Amino acid sequence: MRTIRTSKAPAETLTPDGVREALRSVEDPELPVSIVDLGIVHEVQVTPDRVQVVLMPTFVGCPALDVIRDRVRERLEEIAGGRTIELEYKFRPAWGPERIAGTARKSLRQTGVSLPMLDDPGGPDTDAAWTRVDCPYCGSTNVVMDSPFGPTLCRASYYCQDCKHPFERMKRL
Amino acid sequence: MTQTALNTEAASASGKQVLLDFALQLADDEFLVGHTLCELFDYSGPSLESIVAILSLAQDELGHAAVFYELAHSLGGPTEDWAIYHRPPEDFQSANIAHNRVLDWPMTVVRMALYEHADAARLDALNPTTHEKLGDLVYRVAKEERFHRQHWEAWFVRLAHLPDSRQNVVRALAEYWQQAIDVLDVPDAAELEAELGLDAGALSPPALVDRFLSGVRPLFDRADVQLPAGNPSTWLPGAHSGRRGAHDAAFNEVIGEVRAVHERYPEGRW
Repeated sequence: MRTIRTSKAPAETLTPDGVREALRSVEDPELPVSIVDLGIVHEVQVTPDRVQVVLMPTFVGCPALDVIRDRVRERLEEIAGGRTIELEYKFRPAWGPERIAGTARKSLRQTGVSLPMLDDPGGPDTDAAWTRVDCPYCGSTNVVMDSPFGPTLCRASYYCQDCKHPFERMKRL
Repeated sequence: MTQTALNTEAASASGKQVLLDFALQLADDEFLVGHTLCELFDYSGPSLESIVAILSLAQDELGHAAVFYELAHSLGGPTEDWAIYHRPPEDFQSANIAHNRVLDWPMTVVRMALYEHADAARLDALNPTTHEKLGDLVYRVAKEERFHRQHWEAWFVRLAHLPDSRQNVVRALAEYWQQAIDVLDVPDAAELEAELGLDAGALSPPALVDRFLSGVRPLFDRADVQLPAGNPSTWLPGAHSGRRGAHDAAFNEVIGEVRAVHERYPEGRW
């Protein structure tokens, strides 16, 4: 059995921001980013006797949802100081890639996933930014979509006609 | 208790039953579509990308099924596992098109393009519901189904413009047209509209078929194929939809496959 309460002091001072900070150590099982930076931690509430976290699924059919829930619960048990943990997924509002943090965008791009960047001219989540699909390897926009479904639900498959590299693109929901 | 109060209570109890049946329709349709798409993995689509896409898409449909089963369970229905592995087959509320697959690529593309449009027609009609739980699910699921349609439409248009496969598309359309319309066979539309806070007539078969037709027309234009012959006013869900236990012969075979592993290893977990 895991030790739930290690010391009383941190538990008493637990804040929603502290919970978010702790959840940074939980990575998405399919993407090299923390679930906090991915933007799926929707709401955090802390009261003297409970910690409530609302998560948003990236896609309803995502097989990682249970894994994420279990990892979040484990992490919360470490910091909750004996509080009751309430954890749920909510569907409205819906998660969208506009919730992804700047650092996570960079790591996604480094692993071959194209998506608009925060410093894109005109902002990251405009129609223009989403229409302009660029290859994460060579930057070319001479690309074609192979399929709106890639290796995971949240990504589409593209092919770069310049560097001949297949790549993935986050979907705009 | 006054007579009026009794009547209201009776009405809401039957409204709940209709909503439960409807939640099971949504769940069973999506489950069997997801399951039958998985079979294509073995059969192989035309390219590696199309196989990856099918499996990814199948996974999404199974995810939608799971949340609709959860909704059905919260309304007093069976759990997801019970519904899938133990429910008497005649209690499945799915339409025939959900399980009625042929391991052939043009048939699959047409079946799925039509199913997705029928599914979109009912989700669109449900969108203004005041039922919070269903409303949240419909809102979220519809966003994802957009990609499914996009995928099947792209293949539909591509195949229709290839001389060799065009006739297969037309043949498949004739096969699946009525079956797609049968998806719009909802249990007691008037009762369901009241339970879901929708306008009267919003879920009536003609209204749903109209939505379906306005969805597929632009697709048929792009593919340069005609709507199937026939009088559009007769395009209505039929008694042979498969809903309410009247499935076709292939249904038991598919359910047998679904349950084979579970029956052999009832304690198995995966």
